[in-house]
Order: sequence, then structure tokens, then C-alpha cells
Amino acid sequence: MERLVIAPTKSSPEIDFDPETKILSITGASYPEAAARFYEPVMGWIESLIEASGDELVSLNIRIHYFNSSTSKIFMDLFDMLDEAVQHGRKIEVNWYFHEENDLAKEYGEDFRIDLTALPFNLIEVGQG
Amino acid sequence: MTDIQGLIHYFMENSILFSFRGPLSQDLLEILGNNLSRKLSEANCNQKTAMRIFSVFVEQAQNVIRYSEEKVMDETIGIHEMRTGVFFVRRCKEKFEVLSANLVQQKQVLFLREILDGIKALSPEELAVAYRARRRNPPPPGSKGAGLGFYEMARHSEKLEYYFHEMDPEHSIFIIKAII
Repeated sequence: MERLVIAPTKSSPEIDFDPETKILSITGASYPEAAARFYEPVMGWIESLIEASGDELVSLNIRIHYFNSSTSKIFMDLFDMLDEAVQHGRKIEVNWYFHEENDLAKEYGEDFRIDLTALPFNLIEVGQG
Repeated sequence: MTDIQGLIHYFMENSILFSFRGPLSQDLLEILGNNLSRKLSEANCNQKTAMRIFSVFVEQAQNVIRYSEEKVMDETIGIHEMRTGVFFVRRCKEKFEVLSANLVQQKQVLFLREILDGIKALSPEELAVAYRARRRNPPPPGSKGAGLGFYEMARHSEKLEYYFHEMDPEHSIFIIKAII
């Protein structure tokens, strides 16, 4: 598989997915006009990786300081997909990073985690500097 | 000249921090969002409140981009249909009001009222549960987004108000105001 890199814009995040290390990073802000369209290749890539990853750990690191409601739906679909994959024996974790001042990001992280059954979903606070 | 003076007075008397009226595109939204953030910072708005204001503004703006009945064509910049709305953010005592207004079809009024009345009737806990349930369901028919925008606005505000003013037999102005 090829590395997936999408440069950030003001309203869409940087995507950097490495098929070798299996470290997937989503960083920035997410409020694109058509979230489903933006995230389609992202979801597709992740699905392909999971199928090919066997026993190896896939880490999804999300550092999103703001996202809109459409993105929220996409993320829930993504986490549901990962949750199901973990139930079928795959090794996947999500690391949800938030800034200590960003109480909304923390709240949303907790919100996603409530409905997940098997997927490790880690809330990680990041301090100043 | 007096019209302009009247307008300036209006803006000052109403402590309007941020306003925009016109056709809206995603590009413009990015710039306006940036501008709004700066204005809030200058007004010494704390981070937590500023994030909520920004979030409500984006949801309102993207609703306008998707649904406003007032459209202009601008093929010179490759955009075929730009939807139009009005946006204000103003200070009101200790709080902020984030308001948007756009044209809607008369036949959408009932539908909008039902959704918003439903949302307003929920306690914060019920709202969180309804939000999560809605997020899991496929978008409702006729919806271009996730159908979640109003829920998002409600979650971030102390109070959500809305009004309809009939413009003509086919259209009304829909105003939505979040108090944060």
C-alpha cells in the first residue's frame, strides 16, 4: 500500500497514513463543505490497511482541535468500523489528543468513547508548549 | 448619508462584533471564521466560549451554504450557486448572541419548527443522547449534511431561539439565534 498524505487546508485536516509503521495521523481542523467526499478515500485506505494488517497494531492518532457536525458523523462511522474490526480480532487503537484548554475536544472524545465496545479509545491531554 | 449613519449607530448600539451579509462559499467561510476568531480574541472572550461561538457560526453558515433559498450565480469563480445569508455575533451583557438568517421555502417552515421544537424540549442529558442517536442514523431525506447541525448548536448554547417572518407566499425568513 502507498502512504496516504493529504495536505491540510483551513477547513480540512492533514492526513498522514504510513502503511509501514501503521501509524495514521489526522491533524488540524475539520469542517469541509462535503465531509463524506473528503473522508471517502481516507475510510477506504483504512479499510484496506486493516484487511492487510494481520496481527500488527494499527494506531490512529487524532489531533483535531475543531470539527463540524458532518465530520462528527463520519468519525462515528469510522470508529464503529474499527470497533467491529477489533471484535473480529484485529489490533487497533485510537489516540484522541486534546489541548488542556479545549474542553469541547475532550467532551467529544468522551462522547465517541461511550458507544464503543471493543476499540481502545485513549483520551490524551496535551499541555502548553 | 443618514442611512449609513443609522447603520453605524445600529452596529454600535447593538455591540455587534462580527457581521456578514451576502452569498457564502466554503472559501469565504474559512476567511470569515478566521476573522470571527480574531474579533473574539480582541474582545477578550475566553477560549471555551470562543470555541462554542465559532462552532455555532460554522454550523449556521454551512446550513446556509446548503439550504438558503436566496441564491446567486457566479460562474466567473466557478461557483454555480452561492447561497445567501446574514450573520451577526453580538455581545449582550455577559453573553454572546450568534445569529443567522436566510430565506427558506414556505413548505420547509413546518419541518424546521418541528425539529427545533423537539430539540428545545430536551434537557442537556436528553440532548446528548438524541445527538448520539441521530449521529448513528443515516441522514434524513432531503438533508445534505448529517442532520446534526441544529443539535450541535443546541449543545453549545445556553439557549436556542428561532423565528420565521413571511416574506411572500413562497418564502419566509428563518432566523436562528444561539445565546452562549
